[in-house]
Amino acid sequence: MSAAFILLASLRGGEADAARAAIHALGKPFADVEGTHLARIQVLEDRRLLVAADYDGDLKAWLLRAAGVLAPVLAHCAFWPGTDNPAEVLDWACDRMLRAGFSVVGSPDATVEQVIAALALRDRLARFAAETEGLGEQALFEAWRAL
Amino acid sequence: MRARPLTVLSPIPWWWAPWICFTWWVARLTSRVAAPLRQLSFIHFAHWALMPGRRRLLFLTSFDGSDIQYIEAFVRVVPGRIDALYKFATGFPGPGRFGPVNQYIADHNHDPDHFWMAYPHASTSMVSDALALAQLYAAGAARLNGARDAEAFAREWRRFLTEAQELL
Repeated sequence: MSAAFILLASLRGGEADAARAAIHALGKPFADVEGTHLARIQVLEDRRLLVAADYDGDLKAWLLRAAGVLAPVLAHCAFWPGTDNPAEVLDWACDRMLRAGFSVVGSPDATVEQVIAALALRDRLARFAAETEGLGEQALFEAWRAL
Repeated sequence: MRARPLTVLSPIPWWWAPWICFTWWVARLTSRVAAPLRQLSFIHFAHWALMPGRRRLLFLTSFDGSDIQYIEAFVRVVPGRIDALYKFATGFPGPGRFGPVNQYIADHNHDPDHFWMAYPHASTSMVSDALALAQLYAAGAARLNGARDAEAFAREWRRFLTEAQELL
């Protein structure tokens, strides 16, 4: 089951543009954070950093992975402790998390891995069905065994 | 990337925040609030939260299609629920007319600097269909893979296709 993560942290004065540059320099940081369905990161109103994601599993484990890859951006936030001490990272983040009061999730019970596996299976079966349409029983059977 | 993000910040008077919290509490007690939104079949994720100080309402969402389609569907399908949340949000025009709501969203939206999705080419419908298909396949895989001859397999495959055709 996925959960929402919303973090709102004050940026250090005058570092909004540097934070934006750091975000763009990261490429696709959440690709390296296992269990992330979807995520956004943005400088909000030139003074705050918003990080929001939907993730699977344990918050602390996910948060420490995310903090690791986002460290160059988080370094522009006020009172960011650095990543050396996980307990300090968790304390810092928990102090700045917003609670989602209400959520609507398309497929709330599926993990990222389940979604990706299901999409791959759907592609495989759809391709098999299209490619074997009109085949005789023996050829169909052999095509399945070769799949 | 099929999904699009919105990050909408709505100013609210201080006395409106307790009402919003109450509506969320009620909404969490029943699936009747989320159900019509989920049935729209284009919301990947939508979250509402109060900003620190409780003077602004944050709406984070990601959806398939265009902003206009999304907002139009919200206004058409759940106007009462929008009103319950945004009725006293500063400058909110009310859910009655699509155009002013669209303008309100445009005025209060903040584009992300980075937006990422683990399955970027999949729509909400594709995800839900794929998950349903995976369940159906799990139930029928033993029969398909255990078919002893071509005739038995063809029979099982036709049965599976009949059940799964809307999901493929």
